[in-house]
Amino acid sequence: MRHWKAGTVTLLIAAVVNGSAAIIASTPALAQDTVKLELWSRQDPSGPLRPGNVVKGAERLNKELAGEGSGKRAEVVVHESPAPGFDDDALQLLKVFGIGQGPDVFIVAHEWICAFQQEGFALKLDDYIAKDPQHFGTIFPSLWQSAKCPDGIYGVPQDAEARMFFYNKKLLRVAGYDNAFIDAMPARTLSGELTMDELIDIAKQVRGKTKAQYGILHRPNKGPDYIMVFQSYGNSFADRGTGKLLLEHDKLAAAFGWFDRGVKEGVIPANNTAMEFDALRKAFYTGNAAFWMYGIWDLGTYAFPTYGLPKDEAAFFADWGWIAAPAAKRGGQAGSLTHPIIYAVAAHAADPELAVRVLGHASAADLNTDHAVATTHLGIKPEQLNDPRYAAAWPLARATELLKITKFLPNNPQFGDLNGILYTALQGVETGRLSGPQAADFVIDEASASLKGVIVK
Amino acid sequence: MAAPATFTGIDTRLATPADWDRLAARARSLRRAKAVALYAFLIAVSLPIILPYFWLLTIAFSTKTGVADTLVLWRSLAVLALAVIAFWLAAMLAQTRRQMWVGVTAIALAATIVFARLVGPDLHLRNFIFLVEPDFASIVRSRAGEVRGAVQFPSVWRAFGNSTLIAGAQTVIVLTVAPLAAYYLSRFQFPARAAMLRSLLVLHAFPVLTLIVPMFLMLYWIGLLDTLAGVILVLVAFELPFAIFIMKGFFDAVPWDIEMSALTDGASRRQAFLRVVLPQVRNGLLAIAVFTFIRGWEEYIFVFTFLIRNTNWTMSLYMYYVRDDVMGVDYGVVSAVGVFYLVPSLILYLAAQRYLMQMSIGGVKG
Amino acid sequence: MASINELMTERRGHAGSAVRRRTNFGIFLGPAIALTVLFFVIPVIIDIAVSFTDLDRTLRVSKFTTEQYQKVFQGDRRLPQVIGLTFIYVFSTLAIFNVTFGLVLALTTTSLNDMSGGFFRGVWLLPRMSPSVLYILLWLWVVNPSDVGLLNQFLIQVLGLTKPLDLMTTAPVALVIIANGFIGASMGMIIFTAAIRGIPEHLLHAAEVDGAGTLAKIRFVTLPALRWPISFVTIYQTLSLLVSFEYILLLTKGGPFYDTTVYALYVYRHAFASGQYGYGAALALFLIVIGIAVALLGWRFFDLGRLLQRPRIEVH
Repeated sequence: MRHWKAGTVTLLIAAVVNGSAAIIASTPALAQDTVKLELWSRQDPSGPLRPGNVVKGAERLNKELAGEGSGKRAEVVVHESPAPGFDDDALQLLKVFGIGQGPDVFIVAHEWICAFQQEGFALKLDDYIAKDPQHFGTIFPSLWQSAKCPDGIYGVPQDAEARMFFYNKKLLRVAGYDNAFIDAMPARTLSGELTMDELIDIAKQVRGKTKAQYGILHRPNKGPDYIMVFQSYGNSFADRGTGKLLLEHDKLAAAFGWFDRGVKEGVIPANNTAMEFDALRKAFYTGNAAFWMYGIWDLGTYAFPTYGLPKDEAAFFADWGWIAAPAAKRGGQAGSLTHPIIYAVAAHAADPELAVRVLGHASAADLNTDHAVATTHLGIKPEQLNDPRYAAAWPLARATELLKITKFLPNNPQFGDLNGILYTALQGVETGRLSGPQAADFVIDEASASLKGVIVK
Repeated sequence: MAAPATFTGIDTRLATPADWDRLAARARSLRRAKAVALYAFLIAVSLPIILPYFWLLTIAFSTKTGVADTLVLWRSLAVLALAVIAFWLAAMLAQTRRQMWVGVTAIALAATIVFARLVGPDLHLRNFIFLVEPDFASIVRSRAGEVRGAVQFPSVWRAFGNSTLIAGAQTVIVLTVAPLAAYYLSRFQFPARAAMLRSLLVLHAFPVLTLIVPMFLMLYWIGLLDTLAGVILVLVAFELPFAIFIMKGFFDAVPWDIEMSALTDGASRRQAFLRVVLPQVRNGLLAIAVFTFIRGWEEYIFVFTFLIRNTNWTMSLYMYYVRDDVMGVDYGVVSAVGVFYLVPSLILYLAAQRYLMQMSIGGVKG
Repeated sequence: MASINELMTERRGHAGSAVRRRTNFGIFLGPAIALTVLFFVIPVIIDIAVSFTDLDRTLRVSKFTTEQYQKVFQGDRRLPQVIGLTFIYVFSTLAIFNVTFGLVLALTTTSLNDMSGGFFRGVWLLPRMSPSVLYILLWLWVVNPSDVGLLNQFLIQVLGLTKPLDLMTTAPVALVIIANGFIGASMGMIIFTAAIRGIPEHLLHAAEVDGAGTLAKIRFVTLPALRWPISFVTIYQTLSLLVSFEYILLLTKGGPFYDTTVYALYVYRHAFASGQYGYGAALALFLIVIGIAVALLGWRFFDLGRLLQRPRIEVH
């Protein structure tokens, strides 16, 4: 009897304890509902804080939620994809979404966002953004353009940068150009006086009169930089009205012709597309090349830390400098290219509102400035200019001037593929397999065959 | 009677001892000339292979700045070549064994001293920093300043462990499946045998890497996508035809009598296989084990494609991305990683080299 | 032999023999067949299915169509060049390295003493035994277009060339053939060495006594004995070369423009790298068909059946 009684008592006590625990646990004040958000990011030496800021943003949001009395907490799990470039990463991510295992939040190069939107993988953010003006209201309007698809906003701009032609003033001096000419180059480019052809001429003189091995170098893989040259020759690649891909034969031929001429004059190395990235950087930063078509973040990521270029503004501009992408003809419009990276939310995300709030915190001015200053990217909000760190990072301030004339890549879902075709044609031209007009034909053939809805003029 | 036409031009019926001596001397010098020519040819064609690997070794242990320089390479080669020639001379000129050993030791000592004086100062172990410091990429890139970014590479030991796991599991599975199949194909007659043998060759014609997307879909449908098991099974399947071919060759070379006596003693086929035949083909097992392990060691395409979330870094990926990220800045570190990556397959290969040479494809008696 | 067979069957001729036969089949061949069907046959079937759809980079299929095949026959301007290059590549690598040089290596190394021969064979097996990423990295360093490259150092300092050579741009096909050839020669070398070692000594001695010199010995004794291995290596390596492109991908990524893009690499670029999975599937199918045709033809032509189907024991 005693055992039985003890047993019942134990049972009763257990029931009471469990019951009260259940009741206590269900009260909102003590309930902790952790929402796991998976963040897909590409590991990238020039952007470690892109996912890092989201993690910090989640921490800030959790504090805010605690302050609001909500039991929700956000936990960001970062998945780093080892893809070699943004395009490979986007392709892998599309496959992953395709089998239904996509992440909740992802970081993507802006021109790919409409590929995700088209398939219904990305979440339309207009309403969520409108609900959070404190975080999103002050972002540069032009940057929102890069995150837009035909029916709305699908991404939050994370950074911007400027692409340009860096040049080595020391080499130009040795080649016989005087300081007045060298210092006037940026202004002459912006006014449309310095043209693409003159760029080749300057590089040719450097090659002829100095020991420099190369005149103009560009990236050795698919990317946004060389599109600047195409844009200078009038290629916009997207039809204004419909947004479809647009290919204009003569303008393409002219742009390829510039590269062709560059190689024939000995200014662009014929094997530029086969060289290694680090060999190219080394060639330019150690004074073996006159011009390097790349972007501002290279200064923070490689030029200053690895190659020891002077960090002081005056010292830097004494020996180095940059010009915007020159116009094709005299009096034309110089240009630059900005390739923003954006945060996007998956359409099936577990808690979209929470995700967007996290991104809001991740886009805080100070966090964004961390990323901008560390890796020399441009910020997304005007108030960042007031941050002393940003102001001290003079490359950012000087590069922001280029934002006035900058263009973007078209947000067409197929532009990534078109860019691949362009790059292959570029390689063909530089290695002498194709002439300018033949390259234009090649691009039009390939694009018409493998892409849908391409307008050809 | 006409003089018999002979190969040597000497009429043996009229030959004198002097003639024989001359003949022997000529044959000897001809043989020596042939040997020298053979050696010269082989050394000449083998140099393009030996040099780059040796260069890798020297860069890994000596490069300081970001250049893949060759000074250490040429110097060490010079020392080595002289030492080898000296060894050879010693072996030729020594008349007693003791003399040879004395000569060899003396030369080795001399070579070591010369090497230490000439090349020693340039050697260092700093390139092997990646073994202890996961964030070595930032350190290498920030040689001129201090920049530490997010850690991009996991610890090399984790990559090493993953590679060993994948290659090891794949080898074990192949070593189990292939000999079984090869034995059956070698010993048994059954209706589909001819077709199966032919299909082994046909399977080799499958462009495996172009079937990546169908395989991605298939793995997804059977639930093995994003798992190590999926990657391992794919690798096993692709090594199987070759492994079965080679094992069948080894099984064909084992005489039937041994099995027969085992069977007459009352063993079943399976027991005969396990206890009697399998030990005979030990060399074959070693050969395919080495090939399979090395194939798994170098795999990177499948790992990158089929592992989505659980991207387990393997040594192949590690090497690939170190090269992408660090190369122009520091050839030394890249070579050090390369040496570290190469060493396991090299050890395996050297240990099993003898057995690899016995691979045949099914008996060529006459 | 027959009586022993009868003995065996008699002793095992009880009812369990059919079952035993089947279980043996299952145990021995089961796993291999399962793995092969799962990872070879089924993906090909999926591939055939995919080639009749418009599967793209998002793994969505919206319709069944034959447009991929239309593209192959009508729209693709690169295809003839790619196919031509594939022929040249396969034939050259096979003829120069895989078969011929493999034979040369086997013959020369077996003429030396075992240790030296083994050393050189060991050296020539090293490329095959190194991880592909590393092997190609070494090649890239060797053919580096500046004077840091080993090849250029050799050419400039020893042969007195004035300008460094850029093989990757000027002779990419040759480069690719040599890089793959080093790997391919080792397989032939191994198989031919084993075969040469299997030639009975007395045949060689008899030939010597009959007055044969080295070349004659090779022609009349060694080569006939190597007939089967040579046939096998030819067919096997042809298939290998048709189908694998890993080294080319790592070395030149398809070469300047499409110069070193062999068919398999072309399929990979389309099927995988640019997201046109349907088109890639159609292209891959052609390659599979050609590969199977070559394998079967080779089997018939070289009579490999006789070599491999050496029936052993039929006791169950």
